[in-house]
Amino acid sequence: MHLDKEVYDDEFSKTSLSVQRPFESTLLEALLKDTAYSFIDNVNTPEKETLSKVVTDAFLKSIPDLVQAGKEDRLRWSKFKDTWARHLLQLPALSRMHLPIGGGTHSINAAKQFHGPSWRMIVQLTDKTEAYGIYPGGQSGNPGSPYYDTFVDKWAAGRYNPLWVMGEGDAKDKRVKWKMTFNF
Amino acid sequence: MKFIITTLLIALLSFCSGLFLPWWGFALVALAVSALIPQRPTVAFISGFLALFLLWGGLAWFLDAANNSILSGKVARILPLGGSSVLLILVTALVGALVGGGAALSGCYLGRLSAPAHTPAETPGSIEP
Repeated sequence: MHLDKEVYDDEFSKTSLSVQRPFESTLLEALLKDTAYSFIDNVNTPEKETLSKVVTDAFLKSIPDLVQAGKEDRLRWSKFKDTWARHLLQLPALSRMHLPIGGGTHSINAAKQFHGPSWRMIVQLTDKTEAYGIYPGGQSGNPGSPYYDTFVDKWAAGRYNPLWVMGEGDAKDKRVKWKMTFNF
Repeated sequence: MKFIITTLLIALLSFCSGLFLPWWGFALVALAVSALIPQRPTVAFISGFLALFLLWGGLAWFLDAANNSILSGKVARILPLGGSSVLLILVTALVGALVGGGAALSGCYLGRLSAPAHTPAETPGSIEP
């Protein structure tokens, strides 16, 4: 984040138009391929910056953030990222905050702070389908219900519930509770 | 004694009105009861206030206990009440009580208007509206 600012802020501040910033992957690719990437130079200073200077400066600027995070006990990545299962109205009282999960923008578990993968499912398509699933929520949308957030902790722990993929004969199973009949 | 009767009557009939009418239906009840049972205005207000405070507070408490305070804790966080269920119940009771008291007070004055002969001359020096 600080590196991105170090490299691009000086050029991008020259325009008042709203211009799209380059992707992080663009920056990474450019720096890996070309150590004399033209944006490294800070156009506001007379001397020509080098890659190592820009990276060092960005590193030094990120230290106060880390110190502050250390004071607030937020150095662990899951605490720093602070993933929420946020309510649509963004009310903290109706959300589940500070979920202890890893991942991030550039990882397979793309869980950021307020956005990320939710429903997880593993299925094996054998003769008797074997399936597992979980989602960070509950079966009730009523915040007054004890079933509002039943599965959130289980989801955060990476555990699953077995899914019952019903076959033809399962209609008579003991676990079936009600039957709806449609008469047209 | 009259005070207790009025209060109990308002509370009971307000509960019944709540089964069929919108939330403010009890105001009509408090108005009617207070109009028919003459009291000093202050007493009438307190009667309606207390009746509704106890009714709404009691109902809210009952429902909250049944819910194990799950919802009230969350609502008390959305409102600036610091997550306190007790405070939420008190606020609920207060809202009902203010409306009830106001309605009872209005009813008291209404009763006096329509039936001035019934207004008892109670203690001399009592506050007249």
